[in-house]
Amino acid sequence: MKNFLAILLLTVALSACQRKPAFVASEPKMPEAGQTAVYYFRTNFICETCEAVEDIVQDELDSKFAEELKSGKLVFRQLNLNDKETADFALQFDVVFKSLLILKPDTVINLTNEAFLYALPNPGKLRHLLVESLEAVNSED
Amino acid sequence: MQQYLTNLLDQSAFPLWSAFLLGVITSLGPCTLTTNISVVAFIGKEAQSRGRVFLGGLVYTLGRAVSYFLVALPFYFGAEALNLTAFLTHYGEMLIGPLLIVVGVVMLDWLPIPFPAFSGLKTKLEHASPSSFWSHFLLGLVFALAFCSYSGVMYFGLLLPMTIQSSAGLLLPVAFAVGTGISVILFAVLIAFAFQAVNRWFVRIRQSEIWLRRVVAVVFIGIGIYQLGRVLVFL
Repeated sequence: MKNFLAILLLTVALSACQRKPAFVASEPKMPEAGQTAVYYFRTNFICETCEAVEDIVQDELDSKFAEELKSGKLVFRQLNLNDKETADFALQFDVVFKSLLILKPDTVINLTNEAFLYALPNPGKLRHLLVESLEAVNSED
Repeated sequence: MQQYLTNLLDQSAFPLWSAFLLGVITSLGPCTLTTNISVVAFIGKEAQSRGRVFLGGLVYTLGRAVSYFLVALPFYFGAEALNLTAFLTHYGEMLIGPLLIVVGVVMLDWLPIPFPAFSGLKTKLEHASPSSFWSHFLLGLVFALAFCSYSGVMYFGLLLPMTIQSSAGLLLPVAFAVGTGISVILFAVLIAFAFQAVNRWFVRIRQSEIWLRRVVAVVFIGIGIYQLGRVLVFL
């Protein structure tokens, strides 16, 4: 029993030492007029699939929408659902767990299901869907 | 394998089949796979009898089906259940680690249960007839509620909307549960086959049962510590 407790305490201590820096969460707010926002609602704890979704979205936006990101027409924000302000903001979209949304002032596209379904087994499909959704949303202007 | 299954899901036009496939896909997800390993070990520990392993897996799946069915009820009848979703998805992945550790420690008889009600339950489980599968049922019941981010999205984001819209209705969570349990049952039965092949070389069958229980407990504790460590890294 003593050995077990020692192993458990060691694991806790090692985990504390290897603590990942908390991600820098953005302020929850609606995108401005003419702006498209990709919002990734997450928590402090992130699983492999959650991390994969984030990496794929970030990578795809950086490679296909670099100019829009630079000009500010497109923004990618990670919002922390552990913050009360963000949790309250997310409720208007019926978001209570990790979610991926594309937002314009009058449009909401929820890609959460597809993101988690395809992120690991079929990332190409998620990339394609993200680009397709962004192009569809921006073509409405 | 997951890619093949997601392609099948995309092409599926039958809600029950889609729900079943979704369950299988969910059981193969990274965060659900680690808990499934501990469940396979638990079910497979009665490897002397392949029939018992198979029945144990079925009862475990039944426990999961009951949980998924009960959680789906308020959504199916139109209740505003966002708070329930938030609670289950927020705390599920944090509690699975400690839960696995506690179950493993109890299996090793290291931890006396302080609550009279629970120790009465434990005594009942220990002295239950050999044909009793209450522990399997309870394990399925509890583990189904330990939603991680991935399984939470699969269940709340994909399955429940299907359940509300489909004529098959509340059968879908049951089909989903069967899907989540299939991989566990298959692996547990495989282990039973393998164990029986090896066990011919062991004369002291009773002693191997005790050691098997200890190995399973260590698996629970090991995976529990791993899960707990993953959560603590982010706190």
